[in-house]
Amino acid sequence: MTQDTISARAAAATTGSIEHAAAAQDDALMVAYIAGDASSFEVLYRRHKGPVYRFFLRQLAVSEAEECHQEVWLKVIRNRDAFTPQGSFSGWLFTIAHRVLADRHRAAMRRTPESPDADPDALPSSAPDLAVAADQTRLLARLYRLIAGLPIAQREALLLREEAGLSLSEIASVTQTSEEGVKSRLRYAMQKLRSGMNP
Amino acid sequence: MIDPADTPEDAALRRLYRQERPEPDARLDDAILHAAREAVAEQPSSRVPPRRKWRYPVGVGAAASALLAVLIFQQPSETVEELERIKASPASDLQHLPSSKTMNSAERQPAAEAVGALAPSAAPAELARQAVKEMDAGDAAVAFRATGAAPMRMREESAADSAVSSDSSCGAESTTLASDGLMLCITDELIEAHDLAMGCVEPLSLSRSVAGAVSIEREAQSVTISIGGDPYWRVQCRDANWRVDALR
Repeated sequence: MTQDTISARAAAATTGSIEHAAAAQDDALMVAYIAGDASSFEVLYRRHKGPVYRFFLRQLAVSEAEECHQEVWLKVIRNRDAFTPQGSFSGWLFTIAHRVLADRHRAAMRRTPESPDADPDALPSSAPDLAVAADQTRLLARLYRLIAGLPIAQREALLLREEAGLSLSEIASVTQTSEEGVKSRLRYAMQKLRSGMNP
Repeated sequence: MIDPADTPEDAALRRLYRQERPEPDARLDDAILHAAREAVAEQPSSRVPPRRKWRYPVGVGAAASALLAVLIFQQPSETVEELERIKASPASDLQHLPSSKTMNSAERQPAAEAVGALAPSAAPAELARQAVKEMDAGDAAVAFRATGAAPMRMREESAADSAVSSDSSCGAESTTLASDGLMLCITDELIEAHDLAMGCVEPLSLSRSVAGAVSIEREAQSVTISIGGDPYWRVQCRDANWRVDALR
């Protein structure tokens, strides 16, 4: 076991308890909003708007990402009474996001029969404006392009992990698959990213 | 998120990925927050989610049904029948009450109130007054006592007791004295007369303040009850009613 792995595990344990407290706080905020406190929603929104937006931005064009982002939050507002505080507001939020994205993919597939997984270059670029001179930025642009080129299921699992911070079981619940399936998707996704970054 | 299974290379990739954190446009934020405020302002959501809203009306309905059921089952049918009977012939019925004659003055007021409470609403006060008048008509010198506080209840209990007494003796603490259908249950304080043969379903209670042997002497129409050889009462069960003459 390397020193890095030990540090990573210690950090994960600390992060886990903080995330648990944050999840309970999210639930309380949502309950307050359901009760009519609009300011609670504002806190929730500011806390989660970035992950939701980037979840779409890494998979769709900017305009589409904005549309999906707005659609998700409007669904949260309209369906607020359906929320049950079970300590996973993020899980509920990204379940909605997952459905919005699935609808978007279905609509795109009807327009263009080819699978977007086939060719990464055919995908809508999630980092179209990253062609800048700096090496770091080039690396970043490359990474985003690789992410965009991942198969949809792997890409979504990766983004739910990285952006939403969901656990394996939460990702499994959102994407309606098994935890083993999620692990497998994440493993393949990371392998592709590693090999793509170190050709 | 840090994954414990990550290699250092994965961690580097994650650090790189997180270098850029784009956020939605401010106008998008404003539109969403505006919609959120409008939603709660237009339709103030109750604190109870809609799927639980049925609980309040259903709970109220169940409570009302339970209350109604309790009220219906608690209404004593005997009392209703008794009231109907009193309504039909209130004066004669009150005369049938032996207790109205045998009550002492301390018991008259609650008994009258009880009669008033049980009588039909059309004339409760009138019935109560009549009951008190009947009591006053009795011989105050004779220490007659009723076995119950309220006439109605006493009648019911007495009927039950007399049915038992007709088939058995008076009980372990009483001395039984019987003659031609008349049975006396005698204790140190009370003499209780039963005469079911003549139709007096309620026993007649006579309080005794004198110690001594109780004896009875049957005459043509009545029975004389004596204590220590001295005649105290002449009693007669006639037309299902007790008639009592105090001899002392």
